[in-house]
Amino acid sequence: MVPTARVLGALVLFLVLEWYAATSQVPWLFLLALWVVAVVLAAAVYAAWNRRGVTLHLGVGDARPAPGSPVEALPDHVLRAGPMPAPVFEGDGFGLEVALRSRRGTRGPVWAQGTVGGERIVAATGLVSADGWSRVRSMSAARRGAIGATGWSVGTSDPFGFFRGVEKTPDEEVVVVLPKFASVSGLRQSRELDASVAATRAGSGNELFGIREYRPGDSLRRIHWRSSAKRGELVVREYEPPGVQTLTIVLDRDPPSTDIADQMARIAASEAWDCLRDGGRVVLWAPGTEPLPSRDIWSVLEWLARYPSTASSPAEPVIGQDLVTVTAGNQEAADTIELARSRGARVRAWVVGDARFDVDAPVERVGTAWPI
Amino acid sequence: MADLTRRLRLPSSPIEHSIEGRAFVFSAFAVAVLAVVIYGQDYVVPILGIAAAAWGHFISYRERNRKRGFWRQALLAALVFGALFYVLADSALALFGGVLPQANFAILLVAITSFDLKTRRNCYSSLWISLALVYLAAVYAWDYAFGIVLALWALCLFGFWMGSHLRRLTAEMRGPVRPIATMLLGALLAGAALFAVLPQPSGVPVSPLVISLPNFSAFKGDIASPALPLVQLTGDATGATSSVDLHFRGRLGDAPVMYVRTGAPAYWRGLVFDTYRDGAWTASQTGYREMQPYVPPRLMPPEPPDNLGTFVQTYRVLRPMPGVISAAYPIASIYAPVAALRQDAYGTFHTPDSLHPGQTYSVVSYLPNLSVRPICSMRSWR
Repeated sequence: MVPTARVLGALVLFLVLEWYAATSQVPWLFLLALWVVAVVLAAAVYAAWNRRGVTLHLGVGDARPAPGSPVEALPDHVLRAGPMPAPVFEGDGFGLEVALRSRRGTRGPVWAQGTVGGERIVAATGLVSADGWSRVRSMSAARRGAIGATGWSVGTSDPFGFFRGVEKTPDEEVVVVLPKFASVSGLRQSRELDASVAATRAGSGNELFGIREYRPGDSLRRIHWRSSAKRGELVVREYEPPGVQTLTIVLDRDPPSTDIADQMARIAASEAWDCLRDGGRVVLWAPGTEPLPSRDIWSVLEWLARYPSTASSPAEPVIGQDLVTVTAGNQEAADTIELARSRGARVRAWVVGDARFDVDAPVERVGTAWPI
Repeated sequence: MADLTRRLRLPSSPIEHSIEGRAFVFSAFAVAVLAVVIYGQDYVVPILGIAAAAWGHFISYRERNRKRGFWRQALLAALVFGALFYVLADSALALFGGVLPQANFAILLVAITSFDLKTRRNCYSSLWISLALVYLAAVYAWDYAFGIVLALWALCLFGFWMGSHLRRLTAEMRGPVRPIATMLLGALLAGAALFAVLPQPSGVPVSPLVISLPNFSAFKGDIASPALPLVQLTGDATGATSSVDLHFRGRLGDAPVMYVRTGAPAYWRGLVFDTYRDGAWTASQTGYREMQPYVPPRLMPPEPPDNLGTFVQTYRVLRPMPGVISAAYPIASIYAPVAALRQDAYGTFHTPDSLHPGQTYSVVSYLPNLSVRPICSMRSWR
């Protein structure tokens, strides 16, 4: 708690009043001077009381879907399982909720300030009631990725601004802006991308879907010892039930630009959506990252929102019966396609940009504009 | 030079957007005017001033974001000069009745500048002028009820602080009512308790205390002109006389003739008569000397031995009175807002003209030691 310049002003006022009272012998001025000093002292006590027990909470208050946002096309049952209160996609606006809560009854004045997505935010109130206080700040169209709240602090003072205290809060993630997506199955059919390379796989119906952590009750025969040794914890193989499509989506390790990364994420999300909508499963992978097997569109979208990940992992993908690479022309992608082909998987490729990409598989080239 | 002027320039003040803060500034002015009305019995200018200030506040708030116009500034400056002319004319010639010209000037000043309250600094200026009004009313406040007026003004000041602070934070004018009320009540009670307990220092004024302007009329000679209905007097144009005939004693009244604020109880005296004959007192010595309106201690006789220090008295005349400085004697220094002073052979000070209602003067007197030993030790008692 530090005094502000206003304390100096009050002190000057006190001295002037005392001087005038002493020289003019008008005692009322003594009383006024003492009231000024008493209020400053009382304000110091108030400020010390006010700074305790107030916490800051940041979150998404609402989302304002932009035209063409995937939210408009998603069925209700899918939306209900999504992020609360609403998913935020690329280009969507959203309301940033700045909430102040008090654990010890009413407080005020309190203010919070910091940066969200590079934008400076200030929110203040004279009163934080026992139920808390919140304001929703409208944020403009967002880009894909995690939006963090950085440099936030909570300030408190007395009502007159004589003393103030500031406490910094740790940086946190406010929202993950998901990539746009749309069904591309119709596009593929119209361009006859869905042709060929159909090879019947041995062992279909009892496909290895992925690995997951060991849970009590799992058979010991399912433990994947090599992965367990790598991870330092027990993991088991997970098999898909018979007849379920498993689509492996492979992306580049390090896309050349943000725009290309965004487009790769959109295409991957679109492929995943088509697969999941038909009851299939998806495995997302980029070289150097941990593969994500999922039946849930939201976890897929979140993985793609954070793509490319900075985490490093030596894990390799589980190649199912179908594999799609989304690449900017990377050689690693070509190698993955050859590997999948050698294992009898159906293979397709999306190439973003004009880079040369020679593989023995159907290839669709796109730019960075959306929709494609 | 440009660098010096840049350094001397005050930092820019933010535009005051808090309507609540401005409301408190106006309320502080209203409280100060109320104090002047109650304790100064002044009515016309205060009422006009309140109405004009209310309008001015409305205009200022509505146009706070606009750039100041030249012609409006010129008009306001002309009005300020007009108010200055008013206070000169009323002080010197009592053209408008001569009732509290200083307070009326301050009221007019606030009313005029209310049309130009753009920044927070402007609001503070308005507050400090209203504080001066409170001070002027406090000079004439003799009852504890003035404490309520003072508390109201202080609450307005605190309210302005709160309004401007919350507005600076972009917060609404709200707060925890009970804690804030407790804090304010505690502060007011603590301040009052300290006021009752702490000693109040008395300082020697380094300049004339009373905001007043000199009366430019000069001494007019010896014309017989009885002025007071109380007694039959013969004297000069000021009403001061050299004799009092007790055969003509009139009827005493209850109306106060002056207010005196003093730092100590004392005997006040005016004219001195030393000869009694046939029911009439007369002053046998008629010599005098003329002095400046401010007589510092170095021009006065040496301080009496064994005195207990000095104390200040401020006089405000309520009814027309002879041009005689009534005060506690012996005097250490004196200031009267007149062109000159005359000291007679008995040490009594006279003004050039009779004293008008609203006129003020201040005197610093020695506090005599009236205990037995100093009195017995005086040479005249041996």
